[in-house]
Amino acid sequence: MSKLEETRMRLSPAALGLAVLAVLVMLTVLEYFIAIWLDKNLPIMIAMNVADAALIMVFFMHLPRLWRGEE
Amino acid sequence: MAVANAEAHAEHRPLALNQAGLWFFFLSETFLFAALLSARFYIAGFKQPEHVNQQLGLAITTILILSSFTAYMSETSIAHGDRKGFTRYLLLTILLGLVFVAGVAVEWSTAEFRISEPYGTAFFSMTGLHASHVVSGIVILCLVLGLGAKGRFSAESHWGVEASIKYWHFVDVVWVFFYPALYLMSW
Repeated sequence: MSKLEETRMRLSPAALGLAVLAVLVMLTVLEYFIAIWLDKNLPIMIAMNVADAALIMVFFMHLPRLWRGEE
Repeated sequence: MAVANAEAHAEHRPLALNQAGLWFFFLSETFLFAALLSARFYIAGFKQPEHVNQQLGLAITTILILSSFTAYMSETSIAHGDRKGFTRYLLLTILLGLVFVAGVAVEWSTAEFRISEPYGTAFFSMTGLHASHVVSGIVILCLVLGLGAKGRFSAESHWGVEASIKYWHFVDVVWVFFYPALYLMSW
């Protein structure tokens, strides 16, 4: 069992959703301040966007289920 | 007869195949949004725009992220047979979607740039296309809400809910890239 699946099993769906929401909001607010403080921010922004998208796709859209063929 | 056969066939189709089909649809949409995203930097350059409402951009982004959470909770609720939770969270998602669209409308009406300017072209086309997807997502969620009220979905069978909520998350993922590209990025 992967670490990701272990985490899923440990947390209730609501707790998992709240944790993902908290990280997403933190990343979004951080992006906002980085844009204010840092002039050439493109690479950092791209990295943060990819992290945001990955979190949504893995935890909210259940992307790993595609490989498991889960119903 | 043909319709009945098609429906019967759809009922027996493995769910994994439906999932794959939906993800291929997302992939095809990704090409469309990626083309717009690259066009934004091609026509308007890498300089951070000065006349955008940064606070409003942050607010509507947070609202859309919050709506992804309520959508997730709605799907989780129906998967556990909690119809009340499903309805409550789905209504919240629709409401947050409407607030997002209203925010975009405010941004459009108060924008200090015109559509004929390079940045204006990128801004209005990207937010316009994205907002049209949000509106279609709201319509789909309303249909799901109506079907749910008729008792169409259960813990065992809720593919309609799952697919429509995945679409909602996809629209959120698109905005995760559009928001910084339009408001924050610079090089």
